[in-house]
Amino acid sequence: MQTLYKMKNNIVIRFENVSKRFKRGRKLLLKEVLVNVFRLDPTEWFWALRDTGFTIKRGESVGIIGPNGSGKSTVLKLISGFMIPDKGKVEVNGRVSPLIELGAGFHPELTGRENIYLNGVILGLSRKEVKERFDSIVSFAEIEDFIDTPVKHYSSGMYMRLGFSIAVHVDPDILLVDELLAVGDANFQAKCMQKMKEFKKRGVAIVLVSHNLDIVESFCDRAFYIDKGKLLSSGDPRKVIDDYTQMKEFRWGDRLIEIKDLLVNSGQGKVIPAGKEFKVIFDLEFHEDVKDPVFGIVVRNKNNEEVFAANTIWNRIKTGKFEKSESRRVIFSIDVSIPAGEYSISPAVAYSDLSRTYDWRNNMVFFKIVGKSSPKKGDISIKIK
Amino acid sequence: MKYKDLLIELVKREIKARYKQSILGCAWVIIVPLLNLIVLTMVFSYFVRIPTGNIPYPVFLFTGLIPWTFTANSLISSTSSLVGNSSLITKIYLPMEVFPISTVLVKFIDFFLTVIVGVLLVLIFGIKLHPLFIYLPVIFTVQLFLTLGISFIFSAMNVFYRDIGNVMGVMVTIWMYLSPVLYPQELIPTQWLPIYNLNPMASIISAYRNTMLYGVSPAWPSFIYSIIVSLLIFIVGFLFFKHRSRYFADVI
Repeated sequence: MQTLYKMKNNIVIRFENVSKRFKRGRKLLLKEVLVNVFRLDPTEWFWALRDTGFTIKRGESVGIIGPNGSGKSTVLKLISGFMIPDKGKVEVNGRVSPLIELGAGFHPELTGRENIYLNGVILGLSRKEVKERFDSIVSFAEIEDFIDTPVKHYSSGMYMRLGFSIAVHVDPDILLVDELLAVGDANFQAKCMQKMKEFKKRGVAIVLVSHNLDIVESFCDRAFYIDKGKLLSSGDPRKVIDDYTQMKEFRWGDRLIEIKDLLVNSGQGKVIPAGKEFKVIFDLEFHEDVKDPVFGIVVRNKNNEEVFAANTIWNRIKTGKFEKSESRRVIFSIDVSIPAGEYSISPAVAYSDLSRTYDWRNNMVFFKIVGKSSPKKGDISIKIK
Repeated sequence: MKYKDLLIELVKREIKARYKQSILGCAWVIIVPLLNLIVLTMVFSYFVRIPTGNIPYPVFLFTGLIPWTFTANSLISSTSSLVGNSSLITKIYLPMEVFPISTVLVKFIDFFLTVIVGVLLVLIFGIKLHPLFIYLPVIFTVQLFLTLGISFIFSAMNVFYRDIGNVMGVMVTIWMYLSPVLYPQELIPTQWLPIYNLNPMASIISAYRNTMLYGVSPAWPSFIYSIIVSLLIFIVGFLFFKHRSRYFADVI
């Protein structure tokens, strides 16, 4: 804590022109090593992060968004300090607590009690401090009855609650959260959110990596949009999220229903004569029993402006029940007049009350309209097979 | 000191986890070296006769084998200590050297328990411990530095090249035959001794026997050589480890 005020203006994290690179692939086999000796440029590098600079102040919550593999987690690893930048400088002041893969340090054979001590010291507490907080950790995790049971017998919910409880009891100055809220039941997620709000009030800096744009928007003071290792946009979460969703391709949602494939006219060419009805078909895979999910598409033009959209709610379709591991097909028959040009289709599947997204694949497929258009009624029908 | 607490908890984790879900539990610490001893005693007392003077072969063997086992087990376990904890290394900042150090500490506890068995054995055979055994902590400290140094080097290398883990068992076995563990150093022809003693472990093992069984102080020239080499390996090993540890999270 005493180090917290060393930096100017309560800055707890400062990245200065930070770059981090990794070797592409692992060239370790003798054969490959020998081949590489004779090459001029023996290793291929890719930059997980390039010339990134920012500062985060005490009490600030920052959400980092971006597609998979964009460098978001690398930022967290650099803040944690176990990864060091290849270029630039990372300064961190204060105790960092990572809420990354809760219970990563648990030993399955040890009891809850033993694991609390083990994980507590791993996260930077002294044994004495763990002892003082022990009861509080146990009651927050709600595992009083199982404290002397090996954690291998815990349910995944208990396991996560215990991991979370230990992590939040280390009194961090900086809390790193990586997709924490993607797991656990609603109760647990609410508890996490509650705790994070408490931390925020106490002046803890929170860095949150998430695909859940709703949480980033509602919880964070600022957002960073990172892609291919570059910080493309930062500032007000709403603005950054807009910047992000405008980009060519991205995907979000919990994927309990997955959009596997999307075809225009059964895949027979993506060039459609203007004025002709065409079909947009997407193949879905269900990973859970669900009721009345909402299926929809958005069609955008080259400037990313919405041309039209359709979904099962507007068409007053109750989609019904689907079972786990089922595969289904949704067909949109589109009879709308669109001028010639290039378009993109973004398919989406959402919860029945639209509160959350199963899968949203922005600008997943591109197609072309050619020729002259004629006036149409603008009918879109939706069928589920 | 939190560093100390971390070591304590990691050692506790190893020891507790190892004997859970086993019937004999902690007894294994004693049973394994005893079984080892029985097998080796049979082989070397009945099939290959090794002259050990008026010292019974089991006692002779135990005084070399117990300390050797400490080094052998430490090296084999610590080589995989970082890779085995990769889930921690890629998630939380920790001083990485705690992993090989805690592994060696666990082996030290095993060592300590077998020493108790060894002492009992010596008493059963009616051999008087020589007062020179006050040298033991000194000899052991040298051995500890040597073991830690090598553990640092191989555990760090194993992160980058897992081949190390595969050859470690063989290397340890070869090292044992190059050290006077199963046989007395006197069996080595005198003209080869200078080369033989390049192995720092040779005079360490001999020193244990000399002080405990024969009441002779360690052979100083070669023992001082071992002290210097062990310290050097420890320092070089630690610096190497610290340098490489910056890249563990990148490749592990």
